[in-house]
Amino acid sequence: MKKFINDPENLTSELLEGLALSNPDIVSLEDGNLVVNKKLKDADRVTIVTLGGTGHEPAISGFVGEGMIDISVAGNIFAAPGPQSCVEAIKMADKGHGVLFVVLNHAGDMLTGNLTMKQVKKLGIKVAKVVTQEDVANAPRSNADDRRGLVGCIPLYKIAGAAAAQGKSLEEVAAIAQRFADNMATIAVACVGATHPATGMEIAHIEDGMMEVGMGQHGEGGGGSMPMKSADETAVIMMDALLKDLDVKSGEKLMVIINGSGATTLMEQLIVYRKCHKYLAEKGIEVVASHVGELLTVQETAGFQMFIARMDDELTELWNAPCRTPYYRN
Amino acid sequence: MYVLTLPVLRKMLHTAAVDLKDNVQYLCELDSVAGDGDHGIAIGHIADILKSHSEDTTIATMNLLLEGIGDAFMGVNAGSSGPLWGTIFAGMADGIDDQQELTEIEFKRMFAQAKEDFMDVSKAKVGDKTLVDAFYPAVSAIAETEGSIEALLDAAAEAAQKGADATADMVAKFGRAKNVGERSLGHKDPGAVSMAIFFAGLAKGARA
Repeated sequence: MKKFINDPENLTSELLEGLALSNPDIVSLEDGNLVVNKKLKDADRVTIVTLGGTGHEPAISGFVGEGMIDISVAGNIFAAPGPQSCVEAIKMADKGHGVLFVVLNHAGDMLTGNLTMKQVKKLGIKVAKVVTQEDVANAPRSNADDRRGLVGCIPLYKIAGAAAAQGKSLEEVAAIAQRFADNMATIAVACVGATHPATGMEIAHIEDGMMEVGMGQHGEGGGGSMPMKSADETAVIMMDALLKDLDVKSGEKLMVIINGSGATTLMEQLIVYRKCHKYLAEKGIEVVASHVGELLTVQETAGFQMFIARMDDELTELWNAPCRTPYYRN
Repeated sequence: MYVLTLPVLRKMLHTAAVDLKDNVQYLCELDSVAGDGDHGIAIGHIADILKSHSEDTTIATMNLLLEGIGDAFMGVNAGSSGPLWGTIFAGMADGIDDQQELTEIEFKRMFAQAKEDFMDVSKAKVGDKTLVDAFYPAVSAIAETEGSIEALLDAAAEAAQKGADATADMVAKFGRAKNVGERSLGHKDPGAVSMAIFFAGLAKGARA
């Protein structure tokens, strides 16, 4: 493993410290693992709290700030935080309008999410939980509880954050977030695995000349292994899976995100995006929102996640609303 | 022994802590087969908490000791292990009154409550290749065995070990390992193995 790190024990604390120090006007680091929107103290609206492991930078804490996440509760590398710090975060975030609590569907995150919900209910705080579970590769849509949460959480934070900024109620913000979540789909591909930065262990092994469609967030397998293909061929295989899953028809409007997983260059991501856009145009599907770049990575994994979401005018307006976070600004 | 005292409970937990800590690297290696190789890191935190709390002689009752450990586990930000082990310890604390000693009946009640609370929170079932495959047989053995507290713990340790060994023949149906499917076959589940080490440590500590 060749990584510029110090004591592996301190990876999470040091990266969070770096995030806060480099964005002093946007976020602060509190209680060691809470990344907090600097403007939270003046907020008079619904607030957004989420949780997740580190090692996926800029996700998740890099999207804390006005118009997106108010508090991100960070766990260790690839590991969920415990419920204790999530309860603290929700208490800190609640401004009397309630809190939207976004949880990605991974066993550890869900366990912490459920234990947290039990405790905040006892405290009498109004909290609505939305789960992101959009990986089309590891379970059919009819069995969505088995679907992992991948990059889709990031645009969801953006849309929910914009809805909260408009002064909407918790019920309204949660309904918008859920509508977006219900209409999104992601598929991942990887051709080189990564190493766990704390243990140095290989977290996925992909043979030379092969690629694997359906890789999870941490390099878990899940889909099919196949010989390496060109950008255009790979884009079509993946887009077809997404369109089929969401049953997208000609005339519909989509958001498209190509999210680099760490070692795949922006050059490659742009080439893949180009094919997606043209392929959709041929099918009469309009792209009304798009992003190409690294939002949620898996260390030095080579590969990317392809994300689509069915859009309407309200969701598009919320996506285009202003926001200011360390790694996404409008 | 038919009555468990606070010093013996401390020794049991301390022994388990040392054994868990000794297996950190092994657990990381086991986890790298189907997971992301960090189970040992979480167990390292858990072992540190068990050790420091069991060494703290200012904690006056079993209830406070178990509750304090459970709370500290809930604060471990290293994946599912903290909340799951935290639920077990909170359940153990709930199962007993604030007392200095436990009879064997009260000892059984402590684990029965832990089992109930745990199964309420965990979505995994026996056979899913998770720590449930060691925990469930262990607490069932405590409920079903008659005899001294050492005998109950020996039965629990044996059942947990058997359960953990059996996970090698299972395909993961829950948690992150589920996503690698058949690739998990032939390898024990690290969460079940650490749970078996815990019960073995309790049994060893009770006889020490």
